[in-house]
Parts: sequence; structure tokens; C-alpha cells
Amino acid sequence: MGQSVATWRRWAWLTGLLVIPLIILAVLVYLTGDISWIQRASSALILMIIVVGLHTFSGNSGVISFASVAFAMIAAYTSALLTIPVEQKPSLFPDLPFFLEWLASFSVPVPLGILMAVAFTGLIAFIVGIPLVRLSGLAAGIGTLAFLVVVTVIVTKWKAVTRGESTMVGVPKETTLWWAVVGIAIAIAIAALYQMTRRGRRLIASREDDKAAMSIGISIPIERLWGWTLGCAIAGLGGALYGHYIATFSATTFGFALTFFTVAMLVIGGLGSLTGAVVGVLVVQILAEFLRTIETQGLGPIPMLEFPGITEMVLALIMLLVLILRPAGITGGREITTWFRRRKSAPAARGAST
Amino acid sequence: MYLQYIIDSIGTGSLYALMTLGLALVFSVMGLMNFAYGQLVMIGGFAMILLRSQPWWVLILGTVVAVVIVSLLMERLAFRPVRTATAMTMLITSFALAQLLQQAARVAFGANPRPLEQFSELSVQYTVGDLYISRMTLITVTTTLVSVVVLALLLKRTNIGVQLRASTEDVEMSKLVGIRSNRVIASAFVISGVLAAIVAMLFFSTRTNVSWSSGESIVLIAFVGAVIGGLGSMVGAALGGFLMGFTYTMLNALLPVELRVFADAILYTLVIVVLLIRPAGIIAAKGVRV
Amino acid sequence: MSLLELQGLRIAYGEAVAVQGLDLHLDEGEFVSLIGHNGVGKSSTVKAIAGLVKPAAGTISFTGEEIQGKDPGVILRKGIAVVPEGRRIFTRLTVKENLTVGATVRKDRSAIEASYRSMIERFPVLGKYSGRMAGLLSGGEQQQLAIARALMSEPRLLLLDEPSLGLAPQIVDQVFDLLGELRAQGTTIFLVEQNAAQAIRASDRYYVMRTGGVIQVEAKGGDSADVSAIEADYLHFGKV
Repeated sequence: MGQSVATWRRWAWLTGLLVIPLIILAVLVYLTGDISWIQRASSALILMIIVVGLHTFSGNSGVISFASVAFAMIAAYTSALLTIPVEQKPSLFPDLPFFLEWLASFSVPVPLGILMAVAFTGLIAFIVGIPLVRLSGLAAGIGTLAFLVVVTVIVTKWKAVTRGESTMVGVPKETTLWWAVVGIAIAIAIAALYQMTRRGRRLIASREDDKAAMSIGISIPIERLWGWTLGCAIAGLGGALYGHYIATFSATTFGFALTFFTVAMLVIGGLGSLTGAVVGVLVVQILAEFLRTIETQGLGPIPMLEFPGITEMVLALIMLLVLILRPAGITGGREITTWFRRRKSAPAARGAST
Repeated sequence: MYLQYIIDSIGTGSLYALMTLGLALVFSVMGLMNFAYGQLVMIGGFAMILLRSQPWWVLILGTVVAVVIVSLLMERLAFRPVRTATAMTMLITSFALAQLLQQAARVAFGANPRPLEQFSELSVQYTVGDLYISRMTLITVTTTLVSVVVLALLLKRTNIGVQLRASTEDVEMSKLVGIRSNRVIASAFVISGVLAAIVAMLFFSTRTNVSWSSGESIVLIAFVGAVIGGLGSMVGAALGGFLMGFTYTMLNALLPVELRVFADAILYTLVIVVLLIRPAGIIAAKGVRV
Repeated sequence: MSLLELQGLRIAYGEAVAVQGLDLHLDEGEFVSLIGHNGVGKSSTVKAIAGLVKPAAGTISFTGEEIQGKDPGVILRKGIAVVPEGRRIFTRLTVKENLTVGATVRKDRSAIEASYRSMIERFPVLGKYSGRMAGLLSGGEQQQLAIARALMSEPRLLLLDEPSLGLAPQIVDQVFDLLGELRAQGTTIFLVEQNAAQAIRASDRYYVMRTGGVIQVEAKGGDSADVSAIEADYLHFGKV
């Protein structure tokens, strides 16, 4: 794509520095053989895919979006509809509308279902993105939130296709820890690549200074639409994998709570960097699992605290403290690579700046 | 028939307008969209449960005081430290705070909704020709009108009101004329708390229970109403909230039965359309960055 | 003792130094101007005196007391009122509300009311439009309102930042006439201006500021003979 060797090298570094530790972590967790830890690691990695998707749009454009979970939901339902075994479909979906009756006549292998779901999600994102990316600031927040409400209502009420408020069942449960690792590696690789291409750089430029970006001929809506579509498709990958991971889900699985957690993880990690997205998920998930352990079985000298909600409450309190004490997030919006580079070339940089 | 729908819609619209005002007031003073505002209403609901057996004036006063105290604590402990941060950080802070209060209520009052004994004196219906008006609708509309007038007088006629409006327009200049922004922002949170308590009393009087998750839908309405109405403009906020409630009730009444369940989806699609046509809201205040 | 004294004032925004080693002083009852072209750090100086930016080094003393780094409200309560660049009146408040809000730091209600009456006597146009939204006033009227608002706090020192900016020439003359009157009535004035010629004519003394904030000249005002020389030497006036 006309990228220079240096760009590819930077891409390889960023992807490697983020993905390799995650792989090591996954292998370590796998080696413990503890089923519950493997499950926790899997769901954390899948969640990370959604947050990476959110970062791809919000982190690079500086425009808030509450819609990534909506796209995760769309992808999860799409992949489910495509992959549920054909013999179960008539009993699960007896009233499919005429234009979707064809869905009942076949089913595809899960990987293909996920791919098709991601493509479909990307298409939907592109279409609704055409108007939505024109909004900025709080209007963008409200617009995407409104979209989340619309999708939630449709999924909850369109019984014939989504089974309404009943859970989706019969979804092949195939996502494993390794699928999650592959998924997050793909997501990070694509997100990192996008940030380094001309398209991604233009979007970042519009975040830093929209007037200057426009003055050098950058069309902000077009650049945002690209970032939005790509980000929503990545969130879709996470959603589809998640669907095949938990196998039974409903609209409440992808509700405001998940939206809050994904946005909060991104901000806590440090809005504006891919590293921040990864770090935010890791920190919040580890903390959440730690608290949940205390809530359900106690930990060492700490007794069990059997109050439903105490995990979420303490987690929210800690998030609040991070926001108050470190508003730019843990990474301050910087990538892990700049951190390495600055250490190496610190004396030179000091000389150059004077 | 249609007139009946309009009467019902005005009732809901008034309640939503009141919800929106409390949120919009704080936004206009410090640029904060306070997602935790809905939790103030939820707390008001639990205060009502605790005070249900008290005389009515204790119930009202107690609910208002409880909510105002939480509102003030919010400002002092959570929002003051992030006041100079970006709008995004402030928004997420309020998100985290909302989550904290919600989960705290879940821990304190349990995961199941708590029943709230109904106020039988409020369910009286009046008949005018073939129209029904419940006493609750009348109370809601009257309370909203009185609250709006009192708020307007407060902003127009009192020193703190004038200072509040000055800070809304230009924070730096308001400091240069000696306005103490801490005091002004704290008073905005007090007013916002009073409004949240009033909303709680009107809202939960028509419900049979209060749950830790009750605040969520309320803040969503207020949030959306404030933005589509026009940020930084109190009139716009009230109008936006009113339109949300009015449209919602009308949709529920007029849509064919099989589409009625999608009323929310249609309403929020309309919200997106309004935002696209007027990103700064229906009544856009000058100089407000959105 | 001087009413206001800046010593070794240094203001920096991160790496960028706006003002470096500025010394000046001002006595009670004086009309002193600080002139210099765009971007030499005049506005930063005003902001530092008013308490909107913290100086990196140096002192700002008012009536012998160091005030650098204090809050704007505290500095105003000590007696320095600011008429900021661009007037910054509250457009969505009425003219009367703008004036009363200017007296926020005063307590005595009847005294404030008296000041308001004397203010509309001095500025009849403000009395005429007292109930109108201030945003509807013309530029010159808004400038009068900004000055009147500052006077409502009964300051010991009136600090004006570019009051002539964006106004038509005859309106600028009116503003300078007004400042002259205020001076004659004993108000101490510190004027920061790009419009060097008029500022020099109006003031008792003036300072010229050049990039980096170094004072080049400290001279008696009122003598227009100097003006052209100063313009040529220090202000590159052709550009303004």
C-alpha cells in the first residue's frame, strides 16, 4: 500500500509489543489448567477486541461513541443466526419474516459465520455512519447512544428473528482461549496498521486540530467514516466471538453496563492510544476478577463479602479515583513504542529541542 | 380521543421537561453532562420508601434534603477535582459515579425492587365531558409550571442567579468580576438536586416500586432531551424534555399495536434525525461548544 | 511606595516565554500606558496582574503586598479591576445586570445601587438601555459597559487591555476622552495598548514593550513629538 519500510517496522513493533505479552499471558493461564481462569482470560481478551474497536474510532478521532457495543450485539446475533444448526432453526425461529426465510434453510461453519457477521456489521456501520459521523462532541455521544437504544429495542422486540427477550440458544459454543488470542492479535494488528496508514494519520490529525486538518484538504467526515466502519467491524469481531463463547445471550448481555465498562476501560487506559485500550482492559479486568473472587469466596484473610453489587461498586469507585487522580489515563494516551523510543533517544531529543 | 392522548402526553412531557432542567442547569454552568443525575432521582425514590410512614411534609422535606446532600457531595468529591479536565473525562467521571451510586444502592437496598406503597389520594380521576384527567397529571403539570417559574425568577431576580448566568456565559470573565465559581457551581448542584427530588416524587408516585436501576432510563431521557433541546439554554432544555415525553406518549397511543413495542426505537431514531438537522439543538445558545 | 510594581516578571507557557524580566511601576493617581505591537507579551502581562496566569518568576506588588499567583477574585478584592481585551461583557445579561455583577465583591446593597445610579448618569446610554440584553449594544456601547462594569467594584486601579481594538476611530476617540475624564477625577489607570499614538498622548508616562518583554523606553507622555520616533524605532507601526 505504498508504506515505507520504516512504517512497517513501527507497525511490527507496536503489534508485537502488545500482542506477544498477551500470548505469553494466555499460555501461562492455559498452563495453570484452571478452567475458571481460562474462562476469565478468554472473556477478557474478547472484551479487549471490542475496546480496540472502540479505540479505532474514538481514540483516533477524539469523538465519543457509545455504539460499539451495539455493533458487537449485531454481529453476535448475525453470526448466531448463520451458524445455528439447520435442524434446530425451525423450532427456534418459527415465524421468520418472508424476506428472511432463507436463513432457516442452511447453516455455515462458525469461522465463516463470524467472518460474514463482521462483514455485515461493517456494512451496517458504514450505512449508519454516513449520517452519524457528522456529529461531534456531545451530539455524537447522544447520537451514538440513541443508536444503541434503537438496536437494543429492535433486538428485544423483534421476536421472530432475535427471539426477543428470550435468550438466544443453540449457538455453537466454539470460541476457545486460542480463538480469543487469534482474534485480539488480528484486531490489534489491523488497528495498529490503520493508525500508521495515511487514512489513520489524517483522522488523528483531525483530532489534534480540526481546522488545520481541513485547511490541508482533509475531509473529516470521510476520514471519520473510515475509522468508524473499521472500528465497528472490529467491535463486531469481538461480539461474534463473544456470542460463540457464551452461546446463550440476550440484548441485556450487550447493554448499558457493557457500554459503560468498555468506554471506561478505554479512558482509564488512556484515550488516544492502542496501548491504552489494551492496558485499560487488562487493569480493569484483573481488578474486577480480584474483587469478584472476594465477593464470592473471600481471598486469604479477607472474608467473603456476599453483597450483590459490591464488586461493581468498588470497581466504580476505583475507576472514579483513577479519573480524578490521572485524567489522561494510565498511559496518558501514548503508545508503548514511544515509551521505548524515548528512553533510547532521550539525550538526543533534549539536544534537539533547544 | 386525540384530545385525551394530548392531555396524557402533556403530563409525561411536563415530567420529562423537569427531568431535563436539572441536568441542563449543571451543564450550562460547568460543561458537565452529569450521568449520575438519574441516580439522584433513584436516591430520592429510596428516601421516599424510608419516609413513607411520616407526615407528608416530612416526606417531601426529607426527600429533598437527602437528594440535595448527595448532589452536593457529588460536586465536592467527584466533579471539583476534574473540573479542568476535558469534557470526555468529566462525562466518564459522571458515568463512573452513576455506576458507583447505583451499585451502592444495590448493596444497601438489595437487588430486588423495593415496593412503594401507593398514595391513594393521588389516583383520583376527574371527568370533563368524555375526557379523563388524573389528579397526578394535574399535580405533575402544576408542579412543573411552578418549578419553571421559580427557577426563572431565581435566575433572573437573585444575585446568585445573575452570577450563575454570568458563569454560564463566560467562566473566566466571571472570575474577573469576583464571582466565586465554587459557590456558583455548588448552588447549581443544589438546584439540580432539588429538581431531581421533585422528579423523584412525581415519578415514583405513579410507580409501585423503586429499584437500584430506576435512575438509568431517567437520565437517558434527560440527557437526550437536554441535547436535542439546545445545550446552555434552559428554555431549550425544558422544550427538549417536553418533546421527548410528549412524542413518546403520542407514539404509544397512535402506533398500531404490533409496532407499539418499537416506540422507543422510533423515538430515538427521531432524536438522531433532530441531531443531524440541528447538531446544537432546537434552541441553540450562542457560544456553546457541542 | 508605588501602587503597582512589577519586578523581574517572567511568564512562560511551557517552553514558550511570553514575558522576560519585565520591571515597571505605577503610582496612585497616575495614568500609565504599556505599548508595543502584537505578540510582545502585553496581554500576558495583563493576565498575570489580574491573576489569570501564574508568573514563572518575579513579583507583582500592589500597595506593597505581593499578589502574583493569587486568584482573580482575591486581586479584584484588593482593588484591581480589569477591562479585558474584547470587552467580554455578558451578552445574555441585561445592561443593568452586567453592572450589578461588576459589584459582586461589594456588600452594601444601597451603596451599590448608588454607584449604579451615578454610573448611568456618567454613561447615559447605559441608563437608556438598562433592561436590554447587553449583546444587543453596539461595539462602542459595549466598551463603555465593560469600563463601567469594572468601575462598579470601586477599584483603586483600573487595568485596561486594548480597549480600542475593533472600534471605529471616532469611537476610539470617545474611549480615550472617557479615560482622560476618569484620570481627571483621580482614577489610577494602567492602559495596555497597540494604538501607541493615542495612548502616549493620553497618559502621564508610558512604557514600550518589545519581544521578550524588555522595556525599552520609559518616558513622559503627552508629548506627541516623540511618538513618530518611537513608532519608527520600536513598533514597526506600518504593520498595525
